Amino acid sequence: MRKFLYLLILLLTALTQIAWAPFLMIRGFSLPLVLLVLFLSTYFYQVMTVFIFAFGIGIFINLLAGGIVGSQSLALISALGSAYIMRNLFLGRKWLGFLLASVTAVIINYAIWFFLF
Amino acid sequence: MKKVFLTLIGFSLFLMVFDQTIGFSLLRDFTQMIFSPIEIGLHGSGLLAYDKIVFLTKLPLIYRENQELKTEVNNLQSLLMENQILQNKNKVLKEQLGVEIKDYKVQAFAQVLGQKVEGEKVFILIGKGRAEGVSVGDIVVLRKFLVGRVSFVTSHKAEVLPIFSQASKVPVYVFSSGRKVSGLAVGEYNSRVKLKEVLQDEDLQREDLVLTSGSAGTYPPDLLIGKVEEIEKKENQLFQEATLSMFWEIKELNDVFVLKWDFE
Repeated sequence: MRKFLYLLILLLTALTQIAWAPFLMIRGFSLPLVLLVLFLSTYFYQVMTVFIFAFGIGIFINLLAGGIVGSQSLALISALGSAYIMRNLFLGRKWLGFLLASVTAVIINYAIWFFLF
Repeated sequence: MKKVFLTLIGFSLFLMVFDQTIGFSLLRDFTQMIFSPIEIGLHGSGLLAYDKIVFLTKLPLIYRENQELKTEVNNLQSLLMENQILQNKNKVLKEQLGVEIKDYKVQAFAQVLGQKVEGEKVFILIGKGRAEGVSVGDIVVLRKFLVGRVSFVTSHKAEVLPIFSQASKVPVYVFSSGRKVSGLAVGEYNSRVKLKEVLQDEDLQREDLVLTSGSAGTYPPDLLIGKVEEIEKKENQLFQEATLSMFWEIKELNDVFVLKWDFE
């Protein structure tokens, strides 16, 4: 039940990210809502579960909004992986770890996109 | 965990190769058919919320703007009268010269579903596709203002390359001091349009209108792009540049028209 609710939240976030993209643009960059939700959920779920959900939701975004199927999953998983490593490096300082990990996630996500296209 | 991570990365790469070779068109069409209505609803609610926020934040300015608009309406009404007289004259002249007045064919009325960022390109998603006769190269407009060009089509959806996208280049002319000055409207930072390749000698003015020239055959002529906002002249440069203000804003874009036209 909990996982079903989580999946529903992710689906809604993905749809919102696509439909609200014009309002979420900051200097030509769209706010990666799905990535942020996924990153936050690493604090509540097992990272392995989050990776699997990231993979699925990435495919859903590609099917709905276009782009090569799998590319969004690759970007999300890589971003989450690097954020997780960064978080573990700063285990003693929770807030600094959180900040650095979320920044890393966004940067890696965009870096993969720029590398792919 | 490392094993799962690497397996998922590998599987993503495999899917990318599969999509590039065989494709997921059936699955893509099915997903879009199911979720497009939700997207339309969400985009509509987003517009509504954005309108409310903008209205509340700009409330003090609205009264002043209202007064200014009243004056502007009076001025425009007098201009309209002059324009009507000129239009009549123009029609008579065209009939005399045997010039055909050509209209574009409106192919579809589409709702904006959202926006997609792919690397440094940005696209607008609209809710009409191949099934409604929309094809790559069709022109998307809002009234007489150019929004962009269809760059990718699925059965019920299309991607539009807007004029402010980094990848967009539109041949234009500027109506400056009664003369036509040619240039190129190029998207910048995925958020604004810049006028480039205008010779230094040309006398650009603020508020000059910028329209499509139709010269490259990719866009029809005489569609409005924007107004000259800020002119940038640099010494020892062959060309001058200008920032344009567009007549529409992406955040206010809800419904658009898809046009078909023949380049002759």
